[in-house]
Parts: sequence; C-alpha cells; structure tokens
Amino acid sequence: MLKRIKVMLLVVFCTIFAFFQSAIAGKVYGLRTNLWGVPIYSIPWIQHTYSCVSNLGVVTCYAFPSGSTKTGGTIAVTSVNESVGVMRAKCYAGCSMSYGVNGVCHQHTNRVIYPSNNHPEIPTSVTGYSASRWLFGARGTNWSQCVSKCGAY
Amino acid sequence: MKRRILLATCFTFLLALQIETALAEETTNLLKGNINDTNEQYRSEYYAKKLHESYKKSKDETEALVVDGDLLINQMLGNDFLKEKRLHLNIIQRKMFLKRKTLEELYNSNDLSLDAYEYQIEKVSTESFIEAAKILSDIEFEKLFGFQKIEISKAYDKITEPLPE
Repeated sequence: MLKRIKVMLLVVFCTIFAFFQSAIAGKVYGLRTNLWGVPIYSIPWIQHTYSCVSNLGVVTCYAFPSGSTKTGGTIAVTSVNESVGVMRAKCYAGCSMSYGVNGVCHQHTNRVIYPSNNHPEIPTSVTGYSASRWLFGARGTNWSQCVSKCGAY
Repeated sequence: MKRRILLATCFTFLLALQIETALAEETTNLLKGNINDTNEQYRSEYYAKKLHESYKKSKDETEALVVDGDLLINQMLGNDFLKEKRLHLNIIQRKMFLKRKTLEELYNSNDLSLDAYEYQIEKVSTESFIEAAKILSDIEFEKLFGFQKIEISKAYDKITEPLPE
C-alpha cells in the first residue's frame, strides 16, 4: 500500500514538474495583433491596432483607447517564453498613456507585444505607423515610466 | 523495478523538453537578421533588436526617442540616406520632443489647461511634419511618413484655427 502511494506521489510530482517545464518552454503562450482602420486628428488617417495575450487558452485583448477587439486581420503572431512575459505584457497594457500625447494605439500594441521573442513591433506596412512612430517613438513617449512600474523584460 | 522505469521515463521526458527548448532558442538566434537582409521580416527583426538595445542603453528618454526616429529613417529611407538631411530630421525631432517636455511641465504645474495642452501638443506635432516637409522631397516625405505632403495643409488649417473656448 505504502509503495503504491509512493509511486502515485512520484507520478503527481513528475506531472506538475513537467507542466511547469512546458510553460517555461513557451508552448502555450502567444501574442496576437490585429488591425482595422480608424481616423485620428493630426496624422491624416491610421489603421487601428490592438493586441491579445493568450495564456493557457485564456485570451485577453487590449484596445487603446477603446474599440472592438474582435475584427481585423492578424498582422503578427509571436510567442513569449515564460509566464513572467505574460505578466509583463498585461502590466505594460495597463500603463498610463494619454491618447495623442504619449502615443496612439500603435504604441500601446507595441508595449503589449514587447515581451515576446526579439521584442517585435508592428510592421511599418500598417498605415500611419511610421508617422505615429515619428511623433511618439515605438512604445510611447513615457515608455521608461512604464518599464519602471512593471519591470524590464 | 516499476519505480525505476517510471523515474527513467520521467527523466527522459524532461530531457526531451530541455533539448526542445534549447533548439527553439537556437532557431530564434538564427532569425535575428541583419541590416541588409533581403528578407523584410529578418530586417525588421534586426531593427527591433537595435531599438531594444538603444532604449536599454539610453538614460535620456528624449535621446532614445531620437535614436528611435533615426532607426525609422533607416527602415523607411535606407541606411544610405543623405547624412545632412538625416541630421536635420534628428534636429527637428529633438526640438519637437523638447517642446513637448516643456508643455508637459507647464501642464503638470497647472500653468496650462488640458485643452490648451492637447492643442499645443498637436501644434508642435504638426509643425514637425511641416519642418520635415521643407527638407524632404515629395517622394522621401511619403516614404517616411506614409502620407503626402499636400495632406499637411489640412492639419495646418486645424492648428491655425482658434483654440476652442
């Protein structure tokens, strides 16, 4: 009986350990970015972008400053290696950003996808991105405050 | 005996996972790209890496943003873009960020209302496009910003309108 319990405990331990290993290996996380057109003032018109963080099958989407997170086509799919990457992505999504002052949806999307492999940014083929990047940088003019708040990745 | 088999299976499984992770990392490293890569995806990964490094190195946010703008010039107009024009663009951008910083300080010290602050930010932003339009050709301007010079006039009309009451 005792032997059986020991074997069962070993199986449970191995399963839990293997689960965390696979999480670190980045098998289950992914970040997705989508876009659709929305006009804004100052830059003639831009395509709107938003981001989604997928963690263990649960997908959380962020639109800045607001809007649907269901329409549009996917422009980039990348993955994060660690659960801390997902935590950071969610924290970066919540950083303070004033629309048109610190950045627009492009900069917000770039913040969220930042923890994924090679720290990507939305492609320059997104209409209005090069203009918004000229005005606010890739991740907004107060990006360093966001990193101080959430931690670097 | 059973326990040994189970242990061996467990370790083999974990070892396989480790190898897979290492292989994935190696593939990621191979895909970092370089400045002249003919593959756009790899080239953009190179710029993303450079951008990340510049923000990491720089202690001054304004300078980091100017470096960001310089990388944007590389991406949109090429690494061999005229040095003089490039420096001019750097100056225009730096001036814009510094003006915005001053406006932010005024707003934070309650010397500027929110409406006036947002209006001034828009004005400074539009002015930077106007300044850039003076030194860039029509094609260069459109390549860099993704819209035509003629469209600035609409934004210019907007900034010359009186501030809303």
